Amino acid sequence: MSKVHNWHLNRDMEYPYEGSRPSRQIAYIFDTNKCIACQTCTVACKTTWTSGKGQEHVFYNNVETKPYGFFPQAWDVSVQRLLGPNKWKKDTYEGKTVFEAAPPGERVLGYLPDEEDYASPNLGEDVIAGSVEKGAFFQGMHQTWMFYLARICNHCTYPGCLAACPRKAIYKRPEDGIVLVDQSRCRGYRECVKACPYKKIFYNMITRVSEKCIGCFPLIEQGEQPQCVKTCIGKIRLQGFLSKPGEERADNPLDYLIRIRKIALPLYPQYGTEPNVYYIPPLHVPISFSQQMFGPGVEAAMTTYRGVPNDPDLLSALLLFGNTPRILHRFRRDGQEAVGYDDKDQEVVRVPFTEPFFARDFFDKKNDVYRHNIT
Amino acid sequence: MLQKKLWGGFLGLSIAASLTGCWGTDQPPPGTSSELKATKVASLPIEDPLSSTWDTATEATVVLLPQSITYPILGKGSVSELKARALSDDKFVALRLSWADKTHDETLEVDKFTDAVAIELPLGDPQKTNPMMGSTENPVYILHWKAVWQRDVDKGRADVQDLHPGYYSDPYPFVTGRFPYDVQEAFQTDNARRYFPGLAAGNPVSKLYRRWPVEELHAEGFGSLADHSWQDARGKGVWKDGRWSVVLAIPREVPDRANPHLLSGQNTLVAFAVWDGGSQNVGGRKHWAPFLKLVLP
Repeated sequence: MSKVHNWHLNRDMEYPYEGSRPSRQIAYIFDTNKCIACQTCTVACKTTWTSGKGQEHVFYNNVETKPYGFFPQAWDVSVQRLLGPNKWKKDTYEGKTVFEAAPPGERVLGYLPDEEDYASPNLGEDVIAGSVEKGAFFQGMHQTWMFYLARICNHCTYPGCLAACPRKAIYKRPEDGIVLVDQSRCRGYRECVKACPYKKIFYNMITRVSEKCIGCFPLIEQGEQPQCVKTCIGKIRLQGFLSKPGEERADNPLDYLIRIRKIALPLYPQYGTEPNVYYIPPLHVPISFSQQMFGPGVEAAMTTYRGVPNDPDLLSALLLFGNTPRILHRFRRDGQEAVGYDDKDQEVVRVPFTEPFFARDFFDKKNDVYRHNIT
Repeated sequence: MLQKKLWGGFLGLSIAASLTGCWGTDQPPPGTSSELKATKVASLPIEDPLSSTWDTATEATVVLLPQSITYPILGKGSVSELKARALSDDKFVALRLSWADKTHDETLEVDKFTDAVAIELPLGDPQKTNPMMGSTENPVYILHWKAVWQRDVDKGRADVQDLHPGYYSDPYPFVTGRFPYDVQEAFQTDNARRYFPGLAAGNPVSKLYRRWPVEELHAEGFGSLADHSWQDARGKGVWKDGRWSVVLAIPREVPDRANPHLLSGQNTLVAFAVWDGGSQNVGGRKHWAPFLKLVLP
């Protein structure tokens, strides 16, 4: 094992390979407060990448309801049960990661889901935590809670799948940090399926090898955001690149939101893989649950998020979500507008803080019809 | 720390091997026969592992050990030994391997693994070849049989509807024919096959058709296993009364540098590996036995 630095844990940790960060790391931010579980992302991904025979149960992207939705079934509670209680001391994780807790003869602590665990991707959808008392009615504040958790491969800095593969058939691209399975070398041992704590690598029973989210790299290479990001009708997603720790730029929207303002947090950072999908935590969920899922930064992130209406720079960054197919490498606030730039520093999006309001006549004289929607 | 322990064990084996002069043959596990002697016959029963012709060859006992040298290890073994017999003719040297296995594991799903067996022969200097997948200087030849490939040959390739009889799907991209769209028939065009990523990438594991349930491979160390561009070997496996009997037939001389040249009177070495699919054996999670002397007629 080598010693590598994991900034999510605020400490060094053990990993089977030397630390080697890509020149820039693909990263995503998902705002859980805006997701409505419409599954447009799921369908966009499914029709693009996994509509083949043998991929019926494969969802590189899925949206599950927390706390009772899972895909595959019970994935996170199973890993939590294996890992045991997670000990944090302020911002430092004092418990063991999946690498440090690996049993003898293994590189990663993990489990192999049963075939049936993949059979019901929507099991638990919209199930709330707790029960509604007889006679209860809506008073402006829900008495119970749930939230939607959209999930893809985290393209981890220290991938569990890569660590576990005895053939080194899984690799992390140095140019953007996307994690891929070499489809010509994999022999279907499923060590990666067992090792990935997020269970975002799948076994294809027809090709008899493992597959995973490819980060839509053909789009990334053309400067476009992935399918699941571009098609999100709730505009909850933003994809870009994180700079190396210590090289953050305040005008990089990902660096700004994740590292500088710390409004978006990793999913289960205690696993130790340094996942690169960051979540703005849900506001209406018990803090102990959110902290277990997103780490010790939840309270501060929620405070920052609640202050967005009075924070125009932060609002600018958040308005870039879902408003351009292009990958944004730089952004700035121009008065009451957010402006985003592509890799050639060309302006590709300009979003006003307040959308202009247009009112039209009820009767359209040109077409001789009445309008139903006049705003 | 664990890695150090494992490599310590590996180094220990290396030192023991170097002290005794070669890998494996000097100190096989107690109970293992001293050699496997091939008997020449006029006609090899390659496709009949239960033929009485196999009884004409001397039986060797091979004691198997759980693999514990490299990650991931096989914690607890479930197969303790196999019985080996060898026959040859002018074209092939064939081994009939037999071992007890209560479960017949021939399907693949995320949590299901196949029974399998493999033999390994040195391609370089036998006395300097590492039985654990060889090395760059002294690579090894491997002939691998899997129960799932035997199923492919005997019953046709396992398909989604075989594993999930109640399933339904809308038409797949560029598919022809009717549901359930047999993988060997309904996906004939390049466009249709593009939706099988492993197949499209040329991975031999993803092949849709097999004439023989065996694969010829070579290796130059852990994680380096690669298939041969030409496949000339033969084989057949039968599971009967809780026991696998598998024939692995190596071509004696083929114009392929990655094949062992099995010449009359020139002895070589052979190592073994067995996978018990029902115990989730796969890859390095296997039973193995070090080199045994293979006497060629």
